[in-house]
Amino acid sequence: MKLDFLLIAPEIALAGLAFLVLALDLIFLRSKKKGLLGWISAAGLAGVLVLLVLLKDTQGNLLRSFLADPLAFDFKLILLVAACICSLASVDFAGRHLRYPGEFFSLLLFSTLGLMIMVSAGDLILLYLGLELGTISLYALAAMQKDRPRSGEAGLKFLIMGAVSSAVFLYGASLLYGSLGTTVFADMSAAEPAGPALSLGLVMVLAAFAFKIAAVPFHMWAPDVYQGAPTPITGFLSVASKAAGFAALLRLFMGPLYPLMGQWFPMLMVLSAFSMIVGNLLAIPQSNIKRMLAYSGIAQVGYILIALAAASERGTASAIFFLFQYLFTNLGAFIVITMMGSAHGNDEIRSYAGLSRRNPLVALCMLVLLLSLGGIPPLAGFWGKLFLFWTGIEQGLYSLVLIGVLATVLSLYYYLMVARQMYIEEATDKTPISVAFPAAFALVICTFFVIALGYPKPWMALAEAAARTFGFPH
Amino acid sequence: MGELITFLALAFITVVPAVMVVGSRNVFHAGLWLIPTLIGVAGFYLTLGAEFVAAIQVLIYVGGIMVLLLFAILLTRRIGDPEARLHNRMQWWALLFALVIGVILHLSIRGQFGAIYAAAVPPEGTTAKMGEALLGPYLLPFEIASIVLLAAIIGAIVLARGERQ
Repeated sequence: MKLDFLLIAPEIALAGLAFLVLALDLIFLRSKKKGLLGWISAAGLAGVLVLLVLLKDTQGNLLRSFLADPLAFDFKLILLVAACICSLASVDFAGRHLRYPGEFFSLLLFSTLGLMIMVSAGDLILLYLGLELGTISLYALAAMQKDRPRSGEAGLKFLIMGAVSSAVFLYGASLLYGSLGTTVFADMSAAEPAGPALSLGLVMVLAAFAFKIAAVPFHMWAPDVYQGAPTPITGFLSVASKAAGFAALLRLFMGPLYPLMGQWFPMLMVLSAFSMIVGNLLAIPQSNIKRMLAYSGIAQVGYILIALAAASERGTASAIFFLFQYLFTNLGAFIVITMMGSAHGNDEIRSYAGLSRRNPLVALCMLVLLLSLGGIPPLAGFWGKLFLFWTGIEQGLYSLVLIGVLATVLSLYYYLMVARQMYIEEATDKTPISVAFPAAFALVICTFFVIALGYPKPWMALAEAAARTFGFPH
Repeated sequence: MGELITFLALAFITVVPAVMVVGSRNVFHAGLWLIPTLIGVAGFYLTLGAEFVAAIQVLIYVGGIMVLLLFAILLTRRIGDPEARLHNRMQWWALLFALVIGVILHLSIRGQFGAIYAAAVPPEGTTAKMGEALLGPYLLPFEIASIVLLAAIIGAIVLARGERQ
């Protein structure tokens, strides 16, 4: 048995980095320089990112179960950038609010590792282990902010809902295995007419990942967990964990389960439509910005599901492009929320009143990010939505696209409500807000890319390369 | 015929205590009821010809994890209290939901596999094969499982530990 370890080198490097951070935490235990660990993990993640890009052309599979292909590359790019930015944003946060910063950063790295394995998995067993490594670390991270009871509540709710969805996935996976006789995606040959056990397995796997990406009606955990978890972790959860869930959905449903499209297509339609409608309607009355962005995230999942329902090469590419822009847009917004949460001690939208005069740079960045979330041209979010709706029209999903366009218009209302607080309302407290350097640096990077993705071509080329992995048309 | 009787006996040993686990009013009893369920599962492994997994199931689950679980129950103040309420008002809805899911699972599995039976398994050693599989085609899951456990341990310690002085 010969193994090409270059295929899995980024993962091995990341595991080494996680152990290093854990060990350094022991050495620095008595010193007060806890912020250093955040810098180390951010720098290490940047190193792993460089390694990933250098090994871009080393493609193939390891034991048929671990795939290093353009699809995995795109999603690992998303995951590593998300983890890197999240580490930068946590440097100051960890020093202020966390008792155990070393464990915080190493768990963040372990979670990233798990999600990276998940997006590379070409086998149900490996997919499950990646999923568990990714989410078990996140349960602990969500509950880690011990000075707030809500954090513990978030961890517990996340653990229970996560365990239920893992159980549903395992049951579904065992039914798929029983019906198709293999756990390796490349060896599966599903064909119509599918037996009832295979259909049920498909439904259960879809339901489990609908939990992970928080699509309606499997979304009820998201607002509470997003609100309670430490804010940088909420950002990571909303971007990285969601992207990995979509990667697994794409791998299964555009791959071995594609021939059963007749069965999953209507379910994706329903998930998409309800996510767009419910997410946007429930975002409007929220007064807590983390809850508002949780519902907005549910709505964004609905938009991406249009592209999955389209089930085409362009659909896959536009879903991946949307996740690229969502990475910078949403993560940036959560960095601002981290800063504001540290300054005010709460995450109420009314605390943002007069931000444009208290810290003009942060307010300007947040405005750009909010406009991108709302899909205003020429920012990244506009192109993301344009590609999604375009592919929907191409495949004749007119009703979904109509709902999507109307929902987008509606969503502008609650995004601009925050902008109104920042720019028009008067602040009761007029003292300037100062922000930590690493978080501000991360915020500027995010905002830069949100503007830079206004020229979407190179990113779309990456996404298209990934979409070709599936060899459409089947 | 003998196979059917074995199956029914094992199913009885597994399912009835499992219902008691969920239904017990005392969490310590619920923990104890888990023991026959786990032994029943070990019995299923034996009938499937996986005697190594069956032995491990008894050693690790019945021997190790159950003892730990009962210790955890006894040492946790509010959970160990026999007066603590284990049920909420949703229990009948939960039962109904579980029954519906059970019926759906039964019908669909029977609908697809109803006529298929597993071939009789020849009694041969599976331990060596399992070792080869773990370090062969399943090398990656085997290694990653250890990292999953490490992450779970770190997470559990951080959450359980008191505030650092």
